[in-house]
Amino acid sequence: MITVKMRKKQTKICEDEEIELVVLYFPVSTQRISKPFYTFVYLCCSNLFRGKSLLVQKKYNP
Amino acid sequence: MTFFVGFENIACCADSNYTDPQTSLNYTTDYTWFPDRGSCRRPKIGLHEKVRLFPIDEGKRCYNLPTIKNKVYLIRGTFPFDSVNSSFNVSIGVTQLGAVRPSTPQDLEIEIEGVFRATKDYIDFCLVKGEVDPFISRLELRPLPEDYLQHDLPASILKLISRNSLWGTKDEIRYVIYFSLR
Repeated sequence: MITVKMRKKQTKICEDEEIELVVLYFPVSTQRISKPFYTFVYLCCSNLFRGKSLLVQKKYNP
Repeated sequence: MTFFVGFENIACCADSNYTDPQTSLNYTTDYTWFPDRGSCRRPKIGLHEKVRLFPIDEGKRCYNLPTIKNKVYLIRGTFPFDSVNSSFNVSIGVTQLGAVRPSTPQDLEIEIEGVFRATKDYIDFCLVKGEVDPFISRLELRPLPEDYLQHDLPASILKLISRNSLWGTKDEIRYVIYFSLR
């Protein structure tokens, strides 16, 4: 299970119970990514928003 | 339907082009890329879609798809399984997107999906020789809204980790209710 924490300064756009869909991505590259993070989009109240997670502390290992 | 402009939906080894009655999406055969019908197989288990098998000793085989530079796209490959021993990699150009490997014997198919910002007027979706000859049944390319990707990302390709619907089903989310998410 992956828990996504939003940046503290990011405005909370909708309440948790209004979130309908969360799509989570991880960057892949042929180059080393110095600060890997998850990025995600989510739907609430039928509107699309996106955000960026906090720094991923552990190396992602699918 | 104008909404579907820019969509590329490829049904590998399909006998002819067709429209999916559930989604109204048009699917084309992949004979333009690979005219050899001898490499087509029908999965032994369950699924009705055919599979394009690439019996190669090494290297990779790629589907070259048209894109518009700097536009954001979703790309998704579908891979049905005959065996839990299947394992090979999928890449966008030279960047590995993921491994085709069933996690349980019950997995009939898996999808490898990514989002990328096009850097050229084409993209190569490639299947790399692995423990088995690579194969694929379906490939989908869809333009996304410009703001779907942040511009300050350190990579131009993102791998889908999870899509969690908090109501309804995955198919409803993709094709009927929220077209913007494809």
